[in-house]
Amino acid sequence: MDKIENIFIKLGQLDRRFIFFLIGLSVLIPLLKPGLINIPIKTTSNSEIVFKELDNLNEGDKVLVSFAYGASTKPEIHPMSVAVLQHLFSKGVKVYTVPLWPEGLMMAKYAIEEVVESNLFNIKEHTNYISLPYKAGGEIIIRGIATDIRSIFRQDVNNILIDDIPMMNGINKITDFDFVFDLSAGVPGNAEWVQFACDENNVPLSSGCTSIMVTDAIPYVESGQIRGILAGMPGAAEYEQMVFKYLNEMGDSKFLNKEALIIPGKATSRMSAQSIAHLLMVVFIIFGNISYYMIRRRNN
Amino acid sequence: MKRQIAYFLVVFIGFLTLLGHFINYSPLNNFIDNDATQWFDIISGFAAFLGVINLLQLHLNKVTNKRANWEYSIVTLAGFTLMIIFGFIYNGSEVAMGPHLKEKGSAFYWMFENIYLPLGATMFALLAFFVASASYRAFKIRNFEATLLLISGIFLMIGRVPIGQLIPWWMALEIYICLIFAIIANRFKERKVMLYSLVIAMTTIPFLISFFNLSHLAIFKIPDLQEWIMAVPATAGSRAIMIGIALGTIAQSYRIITGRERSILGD
Repeated sequence: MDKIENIFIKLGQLDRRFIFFLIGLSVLIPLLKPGLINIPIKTTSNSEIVFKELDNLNEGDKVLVSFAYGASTKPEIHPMSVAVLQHLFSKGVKVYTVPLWPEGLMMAKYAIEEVVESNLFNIKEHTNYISLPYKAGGEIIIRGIATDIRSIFRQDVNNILIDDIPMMNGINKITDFDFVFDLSAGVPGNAEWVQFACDENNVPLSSGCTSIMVTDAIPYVESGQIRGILAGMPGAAEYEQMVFKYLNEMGDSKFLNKEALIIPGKATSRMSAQSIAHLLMVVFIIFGNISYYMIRRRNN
Repeated sequence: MKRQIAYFLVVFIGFLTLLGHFINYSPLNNFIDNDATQWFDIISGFAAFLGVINLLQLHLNKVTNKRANWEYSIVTLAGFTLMIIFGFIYNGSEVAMGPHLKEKGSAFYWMFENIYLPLGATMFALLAFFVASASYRAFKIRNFEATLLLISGIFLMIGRVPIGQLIPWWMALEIYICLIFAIIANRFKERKVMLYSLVIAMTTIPFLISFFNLSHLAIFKIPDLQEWIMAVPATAGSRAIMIGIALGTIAQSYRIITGRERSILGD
């Protein structure tokens, strides 16, 4: 019995480098061999709400998509950006991107480029989408968009006057948009959109954010101020699955190029890695606790 | 005098902004909604410039005086200078200066895509390793609160990923039984008694649950349980924190605009 106890005690005192190595392996193997572990992804109610909200939009509706994330959180947020844009373009919705972080400009560009290069939709800049430039100020910019967008933005990202862009006709403030979608990894993010723009103007808002932000955002989701939430990589994978199914089951549509290949996004393949890593962490915690119990018992 | 002018401006603009939300007077509302936001835009532009100067000063001082870890400051300054060169002086492509910041082919774009992006993602990815190591050491059944944290942490970790959906009801039940025994383990004087009780509980309770047809309950589905934790206890906790922060913000703002709080000017 003592030998077993000693083994458990040692398992609870592993060198942290060994833990790093195992975590590294648990992430690396599923990423290098995506087909090795195939775990089905089940959608959660919050992701389904987001999907239904965007699915209820009609052709020509105007959606403001806010990009408030950067390089560090790109692997987590970017897959949901692409899936959300795919869903919006498949409905013939007009997309207005606005970066609230300096890097958000590049993130919006990457997301749009990825959708354009997929050839799934015949979309053109200034007809189907417009990219607004980055302005410093965070929540002040959100406040400005809520009251007078033209006082904040005079040109688009290509330095073309927004007065000369037909897609901007009739867009003066937040109430001119039919929906706001926030993609964020911090401040300003979904909470600021609720507080400074969407809630008081009754503009529907949904959000996709990092897993770590969900706890802060969930009160707004439960109160209906944010309509559903895509929570981190799992949320992105769930949304990708729903959009993938939706695009595959879509009948004849003038917005979807049926000849193009519909492929699931990156988050789906990354979920196996996250699943294994989470499981490994739980195993570590269990071993750590058994060891802690045995040491305490021995000391007593 | 300098400070008094600065303080007068803070108090005046603070009151003006506050009144804009309570008085329906269009010039005032217009100032708050449009002019003030543009002022902020201009000031934040200057603030960014000041930040850049400050960063340079700080690291140059560190290098010249050879303070602790001054070697890292050289890397910061080198990175800073390189980005300035590729951003303002050398383009490296046919694209005009300005748009080159976001167009493929330019040196700045190449650096953003091939250096900054992977480095940023790497920094964030390192969290996975530290979280794993830290949770292994810190998540211990020390007392009731720590146990609650541990249990909800485990359920969230498993419930948030697809693997949680593969866990059958009986396995979730066995986890509950093990956790309950982990909590009450110290109350058993005889180790054998505890082990026998655990084995009996682990074998009989699943049969009882199955017999009474209770296996469909959400408590036995880890993803559902995870959603409940997020929707009820986590929401309640977050709301309490948010209300506390809001009250604190109101109190602090009141102190600032009435002149009681002077730390904002460095006093």
